[in-house]
Amino acid sequence: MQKTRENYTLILLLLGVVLFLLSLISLSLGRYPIPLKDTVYILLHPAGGGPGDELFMPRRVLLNIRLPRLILALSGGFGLGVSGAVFQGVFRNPLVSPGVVGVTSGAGFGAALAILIFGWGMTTQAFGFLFGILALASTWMIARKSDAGSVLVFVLAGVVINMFFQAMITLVKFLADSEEKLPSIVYWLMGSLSTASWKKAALTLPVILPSSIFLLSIRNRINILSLGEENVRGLGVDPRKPMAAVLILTTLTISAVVSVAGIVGWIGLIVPHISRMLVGPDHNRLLPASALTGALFFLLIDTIGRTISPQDIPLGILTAVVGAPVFVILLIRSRGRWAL
Amino acid sequence: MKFRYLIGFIALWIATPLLFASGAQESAVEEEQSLTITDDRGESVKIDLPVQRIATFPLPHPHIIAAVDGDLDRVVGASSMSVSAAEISVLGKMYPSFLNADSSYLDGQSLNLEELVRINPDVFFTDKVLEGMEMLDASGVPSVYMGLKQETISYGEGTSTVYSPKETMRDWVSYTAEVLDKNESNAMEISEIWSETEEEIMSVIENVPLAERPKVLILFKTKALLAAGDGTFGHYWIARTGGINAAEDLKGKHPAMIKMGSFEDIMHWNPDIIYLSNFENTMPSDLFENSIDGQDWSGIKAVREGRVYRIPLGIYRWYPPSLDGPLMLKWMAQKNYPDLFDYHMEEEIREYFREYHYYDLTDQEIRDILNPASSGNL
Repeated sequence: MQKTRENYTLILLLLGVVLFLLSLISLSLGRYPIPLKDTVYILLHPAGGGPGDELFMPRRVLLNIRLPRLILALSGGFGLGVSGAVFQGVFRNPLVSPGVVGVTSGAGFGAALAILIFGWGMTTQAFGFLFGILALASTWMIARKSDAGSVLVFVLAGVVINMFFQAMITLVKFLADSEEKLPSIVYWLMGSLSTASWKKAALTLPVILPSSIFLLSIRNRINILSLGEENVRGLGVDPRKPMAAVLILTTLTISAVVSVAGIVGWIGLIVPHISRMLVGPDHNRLLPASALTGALFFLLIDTIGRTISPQDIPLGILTAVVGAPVFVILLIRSRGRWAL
Repeated sequence: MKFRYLIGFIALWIATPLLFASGAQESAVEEEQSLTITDDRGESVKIDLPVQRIATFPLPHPHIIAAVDGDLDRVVGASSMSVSAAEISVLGKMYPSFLNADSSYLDGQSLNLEELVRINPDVFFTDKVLEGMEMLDASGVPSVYMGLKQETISYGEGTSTVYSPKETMRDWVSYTAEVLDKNESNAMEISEIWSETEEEIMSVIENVPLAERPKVLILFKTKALLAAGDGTFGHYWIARTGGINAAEDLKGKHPAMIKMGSFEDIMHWNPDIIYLSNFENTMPSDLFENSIDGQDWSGIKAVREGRVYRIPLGIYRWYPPSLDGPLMLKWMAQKNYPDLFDYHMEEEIREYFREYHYYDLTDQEIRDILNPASSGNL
């Protein structure tokens, strides 16, 4: 027991160090060449001279373009990692992810609708959250009406809701004017942080961070919820309130990430699996590990996406290219026995 | 009774050749009243004359039709972006009927065949091979494909092959004049003036060493990061007005715009002068005030030095092929080299419009040309 505790601490520490180093490297990479030593120098001396300064432009690139993007990638991955692990825990199913039960496409529809009507802003997140919750509630209601407790029914209901909101997203695309708004909606839906800014960071971080951190702080409860409704009741606990709180917080997190980065699949699905291999199924450990792995994964994907070719490659494509094989390997290695 | 039948029969027998003859006569007349031209696809297109109803797809084409035909009454269909340009320009004042042109058959880049057939044009012009175009002939709508023309021009120390606003304009004038059976000479005169203006400007710029030429960036759409890369219309304008194209490394096939990798590209290029295309609603003030989310303009040299300009909108937008090409050259050359060119643009525009568009501009209209309003419908 003592041994695994040490391992766990070590793994978290290691993840933290790798995350820190990758962040530095990521900051120095991009279309504007900035050597690593200049990157470090600028970060240590963020206030610089005027246009005559040798580092005038690199400082602007780094502080106004790359830093907000880095912060959004880290917090987005952090949030998606935590929510993914929480979803798989409370629904007691390793196949469940925010994408599967319709939250992502619901939030995606809401956000797309808001962009269509108002342009990007506060409303994007608000609409995303509203329709994310609506999607999740619909899935839950359908599942409850037909066969409470059946995971299969729950997932199937999710598939139905998912398809419905995908169609609604297509409707928004159809209605968007093809010159200006359609390209931006389509591009945003593919998943991208290319329009990251301090404004977007300022609007989404206050949602993503408190809700994910709160979820982290109640990870003990999630262990209990993962026992299943009947068992929880057997312990003399009413699971409804904590369950509702957990679902609202995850949906808040996901809709905030969707509003800023579009629909980025796979992270919520495979990050918890990778983390489980690292630290085991106990949510006390799984959630912090998922948070760090999620941040690492998102940052890695975003860095690859913006450096591998002159054009930004959408995140949705890269997460699928990386995610699908990883998931297949996990599937084969587990031989159908999912450790939860 | 039988006799009557006989007479009837004989009458019919006599009449039949006459019927055939008159039929033959009719078809001969028909042949005279149609025109067969070979378009840029190499297809021969048969157009019944006279052409009364024109539908067109290329955005700059309506104003060329106006110049060739002296009117826009025959244009029943055009791109919504042509109409929206007319709404905020003198073209709409000169030809108010054009503001009612039907745009419903065009959805962005695709063609709604049934809508086009519904408005029943005698001819349809396009500069793109559109999906469903081969169906048009079968539907009784002859379509004339007039592609964009390229030319090789001097640029920097060497040459560059670009989509040429001048050659494209000249070509479209020819097609239009042929189909409408009009004299093209007036519109063609513009192409001569255009070449003369090119020479006039180049003779001054020749003496400026390459190292002293300004680095110029033309943004087609700022938020979408679309710039005038190598080979575009913008590359032509920059080359012909003595600039170095900041986005010359952007390669692509589009005649007007190429997507850059990220905003960091602009920070890397750090252009001396920036032009905004007026195909979008971004204004120079958006850059000066640094108000575009996700972009940091404050450090860019052109912004710091106040050298961000929005391309004018005269008889049509000045960036793509237009009959105002010579004016665009003068305007841009002067912005690039304020010390070398002392054009009085207001007067240049006034005289040019009087001479070639037969229109007397008011002072306000001239100000509007140089400072085009943003249009909601782009």
